[in-house]
Amino acid sequence: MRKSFKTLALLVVACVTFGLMSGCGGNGSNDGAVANKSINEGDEVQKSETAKDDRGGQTVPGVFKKYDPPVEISISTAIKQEDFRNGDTLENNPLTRWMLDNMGVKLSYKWVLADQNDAFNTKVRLALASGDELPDVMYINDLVVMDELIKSGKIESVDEAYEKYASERTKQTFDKNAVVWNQVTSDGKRWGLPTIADPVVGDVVMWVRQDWLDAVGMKAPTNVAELDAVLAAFKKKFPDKTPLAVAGKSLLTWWMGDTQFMFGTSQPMTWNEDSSGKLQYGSIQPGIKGALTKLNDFYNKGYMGKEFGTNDEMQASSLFTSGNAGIIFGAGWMGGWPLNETAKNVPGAVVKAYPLPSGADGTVGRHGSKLSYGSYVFRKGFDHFDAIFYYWDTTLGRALEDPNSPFAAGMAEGYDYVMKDGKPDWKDIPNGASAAIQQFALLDPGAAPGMIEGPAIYERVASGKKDNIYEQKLAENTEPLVIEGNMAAYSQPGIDRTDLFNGASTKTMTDKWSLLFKSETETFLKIIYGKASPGEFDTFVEKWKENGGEQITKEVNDWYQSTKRG
Amino acid sequence: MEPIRAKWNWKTNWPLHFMLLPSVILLFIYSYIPMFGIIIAFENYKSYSGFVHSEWVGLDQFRLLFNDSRVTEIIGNTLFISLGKMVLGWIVPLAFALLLNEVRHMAIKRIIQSFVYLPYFISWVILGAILTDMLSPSGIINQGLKALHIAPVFFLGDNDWFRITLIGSDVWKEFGFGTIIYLAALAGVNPALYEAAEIDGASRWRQTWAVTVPSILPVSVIIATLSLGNILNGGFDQVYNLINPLVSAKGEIIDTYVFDMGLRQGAFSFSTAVGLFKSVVSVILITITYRMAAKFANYRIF
Amino acid sequence: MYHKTSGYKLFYAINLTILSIGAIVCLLPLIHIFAVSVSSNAASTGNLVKFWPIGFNLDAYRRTLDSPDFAQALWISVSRTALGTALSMFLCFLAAYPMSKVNSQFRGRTAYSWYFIITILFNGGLIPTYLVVNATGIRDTIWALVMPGVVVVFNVVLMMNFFRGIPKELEEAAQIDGANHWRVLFTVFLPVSLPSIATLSLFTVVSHWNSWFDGLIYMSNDKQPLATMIQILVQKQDYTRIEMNVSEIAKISARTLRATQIFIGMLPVLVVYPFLQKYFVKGMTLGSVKE
Repeated sequence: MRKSFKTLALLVVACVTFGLMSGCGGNGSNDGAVANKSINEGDEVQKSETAKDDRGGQTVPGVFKKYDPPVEISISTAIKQEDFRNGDTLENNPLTRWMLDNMGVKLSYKWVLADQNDAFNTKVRLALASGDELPDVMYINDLVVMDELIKSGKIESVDEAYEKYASERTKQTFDKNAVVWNQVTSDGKRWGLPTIADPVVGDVVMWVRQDWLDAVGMKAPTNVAELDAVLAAFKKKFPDKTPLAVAGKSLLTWWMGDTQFMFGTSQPMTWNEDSSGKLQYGSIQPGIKGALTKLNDFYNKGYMGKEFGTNDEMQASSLFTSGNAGIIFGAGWMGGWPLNETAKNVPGAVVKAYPLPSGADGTVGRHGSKLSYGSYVFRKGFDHFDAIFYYWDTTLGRALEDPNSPFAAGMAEGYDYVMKDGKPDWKDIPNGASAAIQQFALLDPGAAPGMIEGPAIYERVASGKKDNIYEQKLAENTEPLVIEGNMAAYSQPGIDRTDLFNGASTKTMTDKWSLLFKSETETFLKIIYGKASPGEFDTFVEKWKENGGEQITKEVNDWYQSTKRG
Repeated sequence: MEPIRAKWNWKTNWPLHFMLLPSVILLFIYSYIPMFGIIIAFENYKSYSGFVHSEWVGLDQFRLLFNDSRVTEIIGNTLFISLGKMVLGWIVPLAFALLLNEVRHMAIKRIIQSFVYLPYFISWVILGAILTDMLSPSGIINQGLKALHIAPVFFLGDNDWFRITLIGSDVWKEFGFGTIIYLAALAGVNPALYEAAEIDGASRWRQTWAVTVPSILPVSVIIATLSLGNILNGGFDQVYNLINPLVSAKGEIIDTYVFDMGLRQGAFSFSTAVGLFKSVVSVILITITYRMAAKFANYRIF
Repeated sequence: MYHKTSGYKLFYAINLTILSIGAIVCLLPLIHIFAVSVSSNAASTGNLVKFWPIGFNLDAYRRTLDSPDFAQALWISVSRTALGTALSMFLCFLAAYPMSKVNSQFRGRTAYSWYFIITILFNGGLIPTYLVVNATGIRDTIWALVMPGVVVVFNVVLMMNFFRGIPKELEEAAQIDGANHWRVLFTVFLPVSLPSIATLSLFTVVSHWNSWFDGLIYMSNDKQPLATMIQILVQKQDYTRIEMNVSEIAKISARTLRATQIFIGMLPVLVVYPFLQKYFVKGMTLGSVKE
């Protein structure tokens, strides 16, 4: 009954990715020409802001005309941290001014919540229950809430507007990443605009204390046997330290201090297609058993520390940043935080990112980054879709490395860039660079994987290229360790096992999943701790199927079929 | 004085009703009216359908709870943890208040009292991280045990120790705050009673039993009775922040279970059903206690 | 005199030792939080700070105190606490008096007590309460933080219990002098109840100060109390549903800043304590009132 309990897991806003996460793409066709066109002068950026009318059909759908008098669009936003500068306010800041000047749209904030996650979901549900009017635009990242909104009839389908107003390049981006539509598709209609995520943003790599590696005179491991040897050498050389930092408290394949490399291509906790194109749950695949057995071996050899099962992600990463661990697995962004703190705590510490070693069965694999972290939905009766798609296209330009984008240098001068002698500068920003203002944007389409030909921007920057403004920005405003981490992720293309189930919970899932999941995490941890024999895994799989797993698999596949339009 | 007693009637008593009136009205608005929402325990409530139009499912939500193979285990855990917390959480503040009452140096008394009250204000998220650190096999507590040649204990990863750790740390966090109410009661004891006992030659021990304890007994009975309302709670924040898969078999309580269920759905109906179940159990326990106190001690707890 | 016996002296020494150890153990977490708040980010991220700061600096305090949002939230917290406590204590004081009568003196007392107790045991849950708050038109005003919980039944029951301990003779003497219930309550009960009022006020202050969920659902952003703001910092963060942006994540996860806001957020309520403490440590005894 005490709903206050329910707001524990925080979800901060969906993020907005400029600078760091902005434009990246793997392999695709299309806008290579755009990407390679260099613009060095910041004034070109300025010019494009004023010369909005002569932007070609590529950037502007053509049908959008600036509103005069201005119209108001209300949005909701969940803030992590406010950081307004130069007298700016929520209602009057570089983002709102740009929209008012260029689009005739006045942004208003109907709900400003201090976080996303349950607080936001609660707000939506309370509004639905009390009949309060919803904001015009909402960012939804909870699939159950999405489902409730769709069924409530209080949001608008985007199908018609998409056909009418989406620019060519917007459509291409979605066509290349069509699977993101699944999360907003119901009864053959699309009820929201999904953001598309940078494909490496959550990809896990291996972070190693290079100075430890040098001290034992070894090279970075590329398979599990080599890893075993390195950890053994660490253990011997630094007996009171923890060779491998693992967070076992919530999941073994979470976001920092995980062990997903060990599972190779059979990644637990994801739904993947089997050879017949059906979705299967990863945690019950036979490959899991060997990985757990090997982790048990690691535990017995004292590599992971007795207490790893009670460590959460923060505690696991603290082990590393305090200089007490030699290896931690985690995403490429960990190079920017928290691993960059290691050298400050331990003089002489050198942290390096490496590709994942192969797992227990010799294969290399990891959890794929999410394809999408959420979607924008629109209140029933909302009728400024032209503005939405115009802004979508304009901000998408950043991901496409469009030199004419008004946001090429950044979203807000004085926040994520400053102009110096007519050129953008990302280093010398008074009070430091801040991305906080992005939370107040109307929307953010995310990345555009597959849209830029050739190497991804991280790869280009890592190889020293600083030709276009996006490359310059990335080179200037990103910690080298982040670039290094992401490079390690890029060096292993095609190993991602992405969770393909992104619908709302199915009926049986709703009732049974929490128990099934609990038995899963318990069994896994028990096996690693040696409190259960590896044979227990088979019992778990049997029980899993019996206690609803089989039925859930069927329902998940029904859903999967239903998302395939026409 | 009899005539005065006899005069209690509506004419003189109307102020008594009048004094209660604002509270009664406010409780009606903000507690009783929302209670109609309990109806969703029997529905499959969806925010978009509302209370009236959501699907009526009868006792299905309760079945979902009780058909679960682990529910007895979970209820058992909850009872163990909350009873432990109730009993110790009742005795420790009481004992501490009595001990503190013996301290005659005012400054020391005040300082001790201010310190013990501090942990109450620190949230479990923060304390959880601190405890995980301190109680880990290599943490400070186990280093201490090692120095005393006691085998290390994996307080948070051992099924037998986990619940004890929960109870112990909860009592530690709350006892200082709980002590305050007893100190207030002790402050109300008439010193003349001690003087009289002193003259009778009663030892300090006897004085404590004869004067101090009776003076704080009523309030401690009330607190114990009201704490019965928490019998199926167990302390969500604490458990949620300390539980891990190694100990979930013994550490999972009803509220963490409901929370997990809720993550998969907007489980308003399910959590309301579970809440209703907990309320009913509490009502039964409190009523029994109330009746027994009235019958055997002729004492109206409230 | 019992103080003089050697047995008692021994007890006193042991007692003092135990209490002091207990007190120090209770102080440590706060010291830890304070130490983290004035340490360098790197050291606190590495979980290296125990009870002594590493890389001492006051940046986090400067940032926190400079923030206009923080001041605003602090103000909301102070006002809700002051208003909520005053109102709540007044209602409690009024309600406890009739409830402290015996059944024969006040007919209907039992019915009232169950009417009160039931509200602790059953609760309608989030949505219906929200709808009522909405319907009574107080959402997004300070009253939304005050009214829904203004009658604290637990306090009424405790206050009632304190009232029962007041010697009957006091009341009867006043009645002989012709005092009615109002006079008895305000001239006889009020002066002797200060310790209990102080105690219950403290409870109310603390619960108002700490409650954060109501601020989250009833108040718009610029009107949220400090506890709501801090709760967000303190909450467990689930990064799996967010696309990561390093610069932001580093900021919201800055442990020193978190520790600072938690520490500053606790201060006011800790400061209130010594002021109220004198009422229940020294004891404003009922015995001082002549019978």
